[in-house]
Amino acid sequence: MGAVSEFWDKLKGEKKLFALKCRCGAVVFPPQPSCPTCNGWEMEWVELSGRGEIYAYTVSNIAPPSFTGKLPFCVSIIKLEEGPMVMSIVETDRPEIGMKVQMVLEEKRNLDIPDENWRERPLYKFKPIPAGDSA
Amino acid sequence: MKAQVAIVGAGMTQFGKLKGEMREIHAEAVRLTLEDTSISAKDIDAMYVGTWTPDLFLNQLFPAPMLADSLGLNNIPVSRVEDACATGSVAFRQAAMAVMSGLHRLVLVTGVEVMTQRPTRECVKTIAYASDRLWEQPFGITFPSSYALLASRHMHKYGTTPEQLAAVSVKNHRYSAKNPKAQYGEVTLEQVLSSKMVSWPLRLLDCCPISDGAAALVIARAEEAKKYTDTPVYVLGSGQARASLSLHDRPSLTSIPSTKQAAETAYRMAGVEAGDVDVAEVHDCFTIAEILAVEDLGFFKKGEGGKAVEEGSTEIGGKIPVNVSGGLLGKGHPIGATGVAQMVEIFEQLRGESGSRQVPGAEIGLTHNVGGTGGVVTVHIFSVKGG
Ligand SMILES: [Zn+2]
Repeated sequence: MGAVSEFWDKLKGEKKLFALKCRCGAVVFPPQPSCPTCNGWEMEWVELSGRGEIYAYTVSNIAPPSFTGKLPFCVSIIKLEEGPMVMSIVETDRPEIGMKVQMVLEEKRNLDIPDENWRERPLYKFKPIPAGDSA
Repeated sequence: MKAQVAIVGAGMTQFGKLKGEMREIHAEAVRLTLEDTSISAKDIDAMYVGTWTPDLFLNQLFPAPMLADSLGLNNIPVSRVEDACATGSVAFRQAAMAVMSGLHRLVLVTGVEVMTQRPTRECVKTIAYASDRLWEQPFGITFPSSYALLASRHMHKYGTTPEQLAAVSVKNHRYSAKNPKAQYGEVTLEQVLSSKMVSWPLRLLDCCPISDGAAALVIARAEEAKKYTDTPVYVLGSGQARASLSLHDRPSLTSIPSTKQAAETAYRMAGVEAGDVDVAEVHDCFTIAEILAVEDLGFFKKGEGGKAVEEGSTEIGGKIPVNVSGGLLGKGHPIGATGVAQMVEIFEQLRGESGSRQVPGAEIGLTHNVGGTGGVVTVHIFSVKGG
């Protein structure tokens, strides 16, 4: 029920990121049950390009136990082309602020959330867009 | 504005890896708090307990009645408050509002956390539960990496350096060496800069430790405060504000907007400005957090916090002494206790009881306590004058 779980179902089914667009014009991402700008409840899904750039980053040498086999890895705040920001992992050894990135799916990820519904879900991550590739 | 509430007793345990049960550590802080007053536990009208997660650290939910049992309180209202690392100061604010409302006369505020019984890797996981379970936790976020993201933006925009970050740690550990209750002693700049990289750009000595400890305060109506102690410390201002839980929902990452807003509220209520503050305990869970705090509280211009620390402007004798208790970095950070312990330090500073780390002639003190990366922030302003 509701937009938040629908987002994860759409990610699984359509393998794309979707945001909610409110009647007031606000693009709400990550999705929320209501529009943070106007408090409206009527919003519809819009597809995002999945492209953006690194706005802030870190390289983690510690992580919760389910991640320790993946260390070190880059956690970033990514500014999406459409404006909203999102936290995600960027698959790179050389992160930089301003680096162009593109969404990729990790097909099966246990989100370590205490609800069977969250086992073996695809998770969105990002990888750098090679220089000169404008796709 | 004439103060309505005063702190009439304050005390804290040693911070660090402690032996003993949560209820014993908690009771020790209360014993030390009541010791210097004419108040007995049976005089208390209500208790607000700040404790972040005995649920996950100790398998102990519903701690307030258990802790009240261990103190022999009357059958009064007792409640537990949880707001991540701002837990202690939010418990204080709830208690202060209860006194201001006229509902209670004498209220006990406590903060306690027992963390070291769990291995560090489990603490890392538990603390990450204070971030968003859908939009942050699936990406392996930790508390240090959240603040590292903030640091990366501050370094990018203002040129803040690893040496400036390290200078915060060196200063706070220099003061914690003068605080007998603190977890750690001095460290050198070289030690900070060569400590293990935890989450770039934050190294181990840029991060607060995992700690056990408790702190407590008794608060009363301002006009009755002198019945209980010769030198009450009055609450001049109290501000609390929220920002989004997640960093990605904020328009800027070079300040904590809830710090600015809580500070504005507290300054306005107290009728003071940033420049009037003589001593401040700010939330330095990581070195970058203190740099953000001294800017957002209005002590220094945005972007100049790193330089201010490096130049000694936040030391005793400088423009505004910050974290002379040793801060969270040096004194320790038993999560629920921290916000209360900051007030214990200010209580003692304003009464001139801080020994070798006393800020001479301090009249106005400020505490700043941050939950997570600013989802909840409180700012409080205190003075020995105002009653
Ligand atoms: Zn709207």
